[in-house]
Amino acid sequence: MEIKKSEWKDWARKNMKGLAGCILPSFTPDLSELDEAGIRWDVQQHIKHGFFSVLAESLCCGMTTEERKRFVEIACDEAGDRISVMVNIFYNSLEESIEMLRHAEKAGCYTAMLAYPINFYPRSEEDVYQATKMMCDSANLGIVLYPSHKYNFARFHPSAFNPRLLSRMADIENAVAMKVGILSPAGYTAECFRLVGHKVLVNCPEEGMWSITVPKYGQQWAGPSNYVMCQTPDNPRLVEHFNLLVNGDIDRAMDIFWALAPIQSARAAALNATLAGGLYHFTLWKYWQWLVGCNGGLLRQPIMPLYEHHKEGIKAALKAVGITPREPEEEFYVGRVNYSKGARLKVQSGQAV
Amino acid sequence: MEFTKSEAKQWARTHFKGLENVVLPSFTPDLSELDEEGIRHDVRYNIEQGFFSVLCAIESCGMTFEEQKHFLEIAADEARGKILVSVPLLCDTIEQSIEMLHHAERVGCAHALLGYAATFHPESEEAIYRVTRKICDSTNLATVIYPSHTFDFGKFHPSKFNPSLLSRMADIENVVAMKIGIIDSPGFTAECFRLMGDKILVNHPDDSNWPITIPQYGQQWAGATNYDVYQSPDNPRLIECFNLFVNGEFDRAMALHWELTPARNLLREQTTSKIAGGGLRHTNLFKYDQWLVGGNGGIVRPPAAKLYEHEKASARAALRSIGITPREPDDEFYVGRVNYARGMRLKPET
Repeated sequence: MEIKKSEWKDWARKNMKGLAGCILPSFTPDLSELDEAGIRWDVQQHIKHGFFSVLAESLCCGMTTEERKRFVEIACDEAGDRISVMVNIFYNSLEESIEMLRHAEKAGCYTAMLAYPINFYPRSEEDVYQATKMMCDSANLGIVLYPSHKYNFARFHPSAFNPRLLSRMADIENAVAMKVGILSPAGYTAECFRLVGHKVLVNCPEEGMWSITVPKYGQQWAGPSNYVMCQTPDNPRLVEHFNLLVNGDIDRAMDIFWALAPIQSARAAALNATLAGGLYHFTLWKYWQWLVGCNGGLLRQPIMPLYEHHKEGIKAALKAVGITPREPEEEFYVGRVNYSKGARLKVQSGQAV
Repeated sequence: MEFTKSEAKQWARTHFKGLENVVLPSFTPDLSELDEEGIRHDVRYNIEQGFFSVLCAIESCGMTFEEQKHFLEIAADEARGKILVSVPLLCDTIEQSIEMLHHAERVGCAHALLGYAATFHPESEEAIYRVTRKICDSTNLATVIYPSHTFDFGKFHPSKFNPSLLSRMADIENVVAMKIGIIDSPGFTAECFRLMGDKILVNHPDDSNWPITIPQYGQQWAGATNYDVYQSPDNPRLIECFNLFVNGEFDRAMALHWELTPARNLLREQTTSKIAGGGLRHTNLFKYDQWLVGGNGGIVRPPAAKLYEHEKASARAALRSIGITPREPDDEFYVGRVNYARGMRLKPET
């Protein structure tokens, strides 16, 4: 990679503008292997939607480390110079995290979002800082810090991730940005912008907050998240909403915001139930992404199951904002690309072929 | 009245500073009558804590219209010259709302929180505006507009209360302020401040939003809600936190904000409970919270949500987490502090 560590902060300021989406892996209908064409389709879709970056989310279902690496490689290869690829570093151990950071660099990712390993139980904030520093130092990538309630760091600070610790992390050479992962209370967001906003690019991913954070705190990017659910390639409304806010056209931005209200309510109703427990309903994400043009296809176990009432609620919300949900359902279960090649669900066993 | 209608907005700018708390009704132990001394205790308790105003929650449980008026009269009498008193207009009919306003003016209230009558089902936003106008025109009191999801106006605008409609209401002469009642929508909050923050005093009552709304939007007052649960008369921490934000002392304000966070996380479950989602408040629990930190307490008359042991335990844990020792014994709560001091006890046989 041509960017020097000392140049990452500048690079970010110039290149991290707009919204970052999120792609999930696609598999062959029998779930035995990655579906390369399906993954490439999703990268292409995100380019068409106008995202500046896409997170290759490899932690959403059961995959081997080699498969996760391959997924990131395929995404980077398809992305080329058209969209920057980010990885999510949320692995079992520090060693595995560093291995993935190095792989991401080699594969052509630009940025990595830094979570803390499952087996990491620090005794102090200093431990958290040292682990962060070690991960940042291990690869030549732009690092997105990610304070979240998921790590159970509230034992060190009532906010769940001490903003002053973040501020120290923000001084690390290749720490370029931050995703606010503690969405409530809003006080946390305010502190991140106040204490860290002049060092790294703070982003609040929740679109409801942008009407505050963009005009008042100068937020220039948001994500990664499942923003694709709110739009279509020919009418990328959420990307447009964000850009209008950035350009100070608040009236037009808010017109779009209110027009999207039905879909925001449906997303909250469908997705928030599992969030407090620290999990995301990725099967639902995959289905929703398929409804608006992405590849779809089932994810491998362990996953949360997808129910008809989920599906009906989402489709109703899409129709309410003028988006025609994709059909037929069977296409989702094998993936759009596979379906176009003639793959169908095996009726007799209920399994896809 | 201290001000004429045309002076109302200016009057509010001078007087609406800090926090407005809530006073809930107290009853005799058999719930047959209002407990005047208990109500007076709670007003004094609000004065001691340093609130600039107290909202007299006439709608919080089963009372006759005459009792609601009397409750307000007692509170206003105790408050006179020491703290402002406001009344929420959550009545059965518009006529009742107007009658309550006249009464409020007579007994010495300064302002009213504008709700919409239970029987009001408007066919258009114009109808909402006209009724608001009619209510405001009927009184010399200052009025606080109150966009809330409980009015079911989502049929007119996806935000549940069209910010442009609010902006029009803000031009009415004696509309002086707003309490944001759609508290979980930052987009709505931003729009309220943007579209009418220069006309009236917009307030977000949820203290978790103050780190944004005070420095970024100049919020100068908040309420009404039960802020007293975070503090005691000798240590009014939430008022101090609010004032520090207003004075631009962000570091000290945030230190207090985080100090109160463990309690906020626990108490949030009370305000975001299924009862709240249905548009109701858990009056008995609010009453219990207040009693734990020095209020009169006493259960309220039905219809009101029931109070359970696990809710009480959670409230006590919340207070301990921020260094407040919850009041005892629990028996005192059930009859009210003032009555308990007079020797009244729960009747064991009943």
